[in-house]
Amino acid sequence: MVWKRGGLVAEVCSERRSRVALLHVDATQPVVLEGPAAVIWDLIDGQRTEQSILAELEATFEDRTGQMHAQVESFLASLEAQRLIEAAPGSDR
Amino acid sequence: MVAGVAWSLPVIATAIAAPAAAASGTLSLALGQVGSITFTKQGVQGQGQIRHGQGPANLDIQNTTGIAQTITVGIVPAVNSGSVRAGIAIKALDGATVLAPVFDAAYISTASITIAGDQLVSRGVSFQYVEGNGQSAPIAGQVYTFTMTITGTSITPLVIPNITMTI
Repeated sequence: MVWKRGGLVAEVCSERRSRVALLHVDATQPVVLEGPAAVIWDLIDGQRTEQSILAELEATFEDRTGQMHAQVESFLASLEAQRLIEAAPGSDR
Repeated sequence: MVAGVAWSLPVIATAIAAPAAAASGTLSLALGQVGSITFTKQGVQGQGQIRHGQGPANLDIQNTTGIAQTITVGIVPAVNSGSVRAGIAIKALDGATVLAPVFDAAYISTASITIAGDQLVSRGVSFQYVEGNGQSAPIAGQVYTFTMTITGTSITPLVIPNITMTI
């Protein structure tokens, strides 16, 4: 599965990209991603597969809980539900 | 990315904008003295263009915010029968800046008024009127009734009904 950022989403990042504010054009309120959420947002580029994003996260973070995969999948689903990301063209679900 | 950072649950946080700092003090308006009033025809100051009626002669203004506040005054004519052919608007409010009113086709007027800060007084108010505007002129002896509504971002709306103007 390959995700890309929504085409109707405005994005503002802090200088170090540790904090990202997003606003869908039809939304009434922006959302903010910080920490791992902001890192995941950075990895969503329309090129990386979900598996490659997970691989990079595993290389970056120390997952003591063993729940990273499930949490990332859930997080991506939440981003999709809020129309902040969408499946890249030609991407298999 | 920072290697070796402990993983934590990624979440989507809702950004809640902090409300703008509220100005200290308050702004309020109240109906002052009510009685006989006159209406000057818009743009005309001469005799013979004056109408008479009943309505507010004063507004009690409390603006203790220390800064100028803008309010919007809307005045709606209510006529029991026939077409509405006259409208009124605030012409002047002592100590305030009154912008030229806008009248729509139904003679509803809208005007912005800026009230200077640090006021705690009763201010005289005067009115102007328009009539006709391509329609038949009002008939002598008719009494027009108006309702004035004053609104603003930081005040409780003030409704002043039963302002009358005799043609």
